[in-house]
Amino acid sequence: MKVTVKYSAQARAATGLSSEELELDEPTTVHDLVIRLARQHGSAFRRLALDANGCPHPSLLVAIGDDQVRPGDHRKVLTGETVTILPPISGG
Amino acid sequence: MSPADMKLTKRLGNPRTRRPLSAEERSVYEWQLNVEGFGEEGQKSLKSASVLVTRVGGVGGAAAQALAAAGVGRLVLVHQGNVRSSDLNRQTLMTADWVGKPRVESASRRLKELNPRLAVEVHNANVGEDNVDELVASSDLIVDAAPLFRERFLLNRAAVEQGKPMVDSAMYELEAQLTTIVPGRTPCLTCLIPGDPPGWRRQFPVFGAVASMIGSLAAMEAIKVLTGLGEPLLGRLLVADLRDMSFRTLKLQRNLHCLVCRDRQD
Repeated sequence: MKVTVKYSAQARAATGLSSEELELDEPTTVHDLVIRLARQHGSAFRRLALDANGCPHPSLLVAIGDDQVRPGDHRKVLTGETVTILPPISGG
Repeated sequence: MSPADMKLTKRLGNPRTRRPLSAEERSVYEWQLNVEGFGEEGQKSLKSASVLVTRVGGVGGAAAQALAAAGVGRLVLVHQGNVRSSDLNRQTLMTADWVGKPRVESASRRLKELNPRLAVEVHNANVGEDNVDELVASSDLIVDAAPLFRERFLLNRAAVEQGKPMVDSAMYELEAQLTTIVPGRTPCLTCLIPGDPPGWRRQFPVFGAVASMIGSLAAMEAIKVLTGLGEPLLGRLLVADLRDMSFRTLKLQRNLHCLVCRDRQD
């Protein structure tokens, strides 16, 4: 099954990608997808995405389609869906 | 209508507390007085309103400028420090001849040039534990344009405790985000970001045009909330990417276990 992942702000810089398509062997939860992406994209992205225990960082913003989901959510990502990773940004 | 909405409507909608418009004001605001759903009642609401803007850099400065131009009666500006040359790519209330002098004084000076009727209160300080409750209490609405999460979390906590609406803005490179928080009705900032996110640095890449864009949109949200115009971004996050000019809104979730607002959720 194919899903699209979009990267915003610092996540774009850390991965070097604005988006990518992933081929998943089986339905994956948001929680597991974030961990998979963190393993796939190296230390800069891992620091943004995971907490000290290796779990999805609770302050990472994640959306499926146009709906925010919790990064540790066990909701399954379905084929054809777009997941957006938005590390929090601020004013200035 | 949430308690926060009712409190605000009562404060701005009471004929005894709303200030009438002068002939000069009717002339200055002529173009927006004709906006459907706004009119003279909306203008009176703005004139009677007090808005806290912190800080007044790229985003907050643009928001303050648009609010001053629109006829908000009183602005409380919070920003510590002096103008630096590296501010000038985005902080449009600062000028090159003001480098080395306090930012809030430059901002106040520029805003009063634009709108001499505006009451401006300046604080050459940033939001902290010692001043946040008083600053939030002094205003009807907060425009949060602070770069540090600890300032944003303090503002959010005080806004929730006092039932004040808060327009929250952010930017990075060519991207920007905006949402409007109404305590008891929408997710609060801590629902979305429970703690300091990893990897955030005080200095980050950005263009002034991005700051001005999201600051102006923040001002529009403030005007909408203060006057009941349109549909503010309640429970929605605007995500703009100016690389491809895409604008989308994400539907936000409340965190039922949020340490700041769980006891105030409807």
